Amino acid sequence: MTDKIDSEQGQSASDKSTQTVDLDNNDNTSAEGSNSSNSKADKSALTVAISKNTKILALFAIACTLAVSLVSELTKDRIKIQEQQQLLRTLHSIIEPSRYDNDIANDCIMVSAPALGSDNVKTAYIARKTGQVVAVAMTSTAPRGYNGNIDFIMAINIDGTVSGVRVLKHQETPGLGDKIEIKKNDWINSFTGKKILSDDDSRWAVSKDNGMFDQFTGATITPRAVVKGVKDTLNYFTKNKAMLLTRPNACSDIATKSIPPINEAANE
Amino acid sequence: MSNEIAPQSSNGTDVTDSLDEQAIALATAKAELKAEYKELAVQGLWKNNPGLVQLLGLCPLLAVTSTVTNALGLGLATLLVLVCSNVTVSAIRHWVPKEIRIPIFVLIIAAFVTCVQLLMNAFTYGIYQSLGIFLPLIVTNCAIIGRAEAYASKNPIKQSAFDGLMMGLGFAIILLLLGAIREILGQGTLFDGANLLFGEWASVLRIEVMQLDSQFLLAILPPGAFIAMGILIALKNAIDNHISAKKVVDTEKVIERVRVNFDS
Repeated sequence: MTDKIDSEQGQSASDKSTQTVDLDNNDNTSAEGSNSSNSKADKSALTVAISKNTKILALFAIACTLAVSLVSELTKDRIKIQEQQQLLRTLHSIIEPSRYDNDIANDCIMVSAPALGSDNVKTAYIARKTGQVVAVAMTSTAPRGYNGNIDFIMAINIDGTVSGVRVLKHQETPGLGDKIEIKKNDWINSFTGKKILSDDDSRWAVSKDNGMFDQFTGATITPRAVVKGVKDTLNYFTKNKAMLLTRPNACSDIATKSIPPINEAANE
Repeated sequence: MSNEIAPQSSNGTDVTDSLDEQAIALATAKAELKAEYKELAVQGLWKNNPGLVQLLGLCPLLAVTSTVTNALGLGLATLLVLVCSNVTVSAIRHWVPKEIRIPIFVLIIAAFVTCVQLLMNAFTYGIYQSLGIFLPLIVTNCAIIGRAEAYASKNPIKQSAFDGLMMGLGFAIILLLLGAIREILGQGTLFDGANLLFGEWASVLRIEVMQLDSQFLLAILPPGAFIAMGILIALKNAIDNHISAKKVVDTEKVIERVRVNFDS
């Protein structure tokens, strides 16, 4: 912050010098004088003022941009680490870290399918142990929440059972629908270990619809949407497993050297 | 907060009678400066509080105060931006032509907000995520450009910094109060999620004030913020009225009330 203020003040000092040069209207030797002060008479005061103000404004814009880009440059790596750690934390909460030994954050495929709830390209992270795929963590969307889309990530074991689900982003009603967050309620853990038996497994519904998942008091639409989303994603995975797992790694290029080893974040 | 009200009536500077002229001049200057700082504090924290009186920056004020932690995060960010922008604006006030001062102030404020946003993203990732859009929206908080225009662009750096500090504190206190009220009523806790702001050790700050079977929705949702805000403003006005009523007891001043009736 202090860097910024200093540079700002330095900038202001240089502003002052340009300004006085312009005001004196002398033969100026400054590089910027070409458009304002050489011809004294035929330039109206307005033009002078406009060009002076433009220059000052431009200098401030440059100074501010410089300051912001400096801070951005300084914090870039740190922000990347933070995001990566956040991702790893989420992944670790749905796949036991001991179950895989690869760099999961940098081993992923891009998937785009209508079954995954939206047209956006989804990322699926692949957990491997000694090269063998153990589980896949797919990001997906449950489209019909009470208040728009619910983005979630779910880990599916290679045998088709659910390893864990976490909601990433939602706008459900605080206090009612937001119980799908692990912070508020452990309902989301009720998916763990569940398996889909057939394409149209009727147990995959909330208990109000004769399914095996509870709904919340005062909120049925939200859990219904999540159950449907998880079911669709699971269905999609089991059907396309072979095709998905042969895709080349799409994340390896993004890998940076500054990322700490996975087990550092694992003690969360 | 109530102890901030008391000193405003005792601005007396005539204690320097017996000293010689130079000392008097020096002392008055000092006293004036002191009085100005005191006035700034009173203005920022109470009389002209950005949250309660100016009602500026209501959008973040109402949106993020669902927990104390969020309120503290936004309060600190706003405070930092306010002090930095006031200092910068004050430092450059002689070099900025008045025609283009507003765009320059906006540039400066936007630059500071972006820097704060980047820093919070880097160092307090959790709170950065829970503040969401309201962090960059500090740019549009009228309290900041208001102070830059009304005070910092006309006054020396030190006073401007102090003004920014007091205004920011006044805003942060209101944020914290609202956050505390809403969090206690809504979730029955205080400092829930403080670890997002301060790191893991802060999890111990979480206080379970009362056990609620279900959350009190109204307090968490935006209408609850409006209601709590209204009550806070009413409370402030009531205290002000009480003070002025006490003052006029001697002078027997009659307060005239006008009531608008539809049938009259």
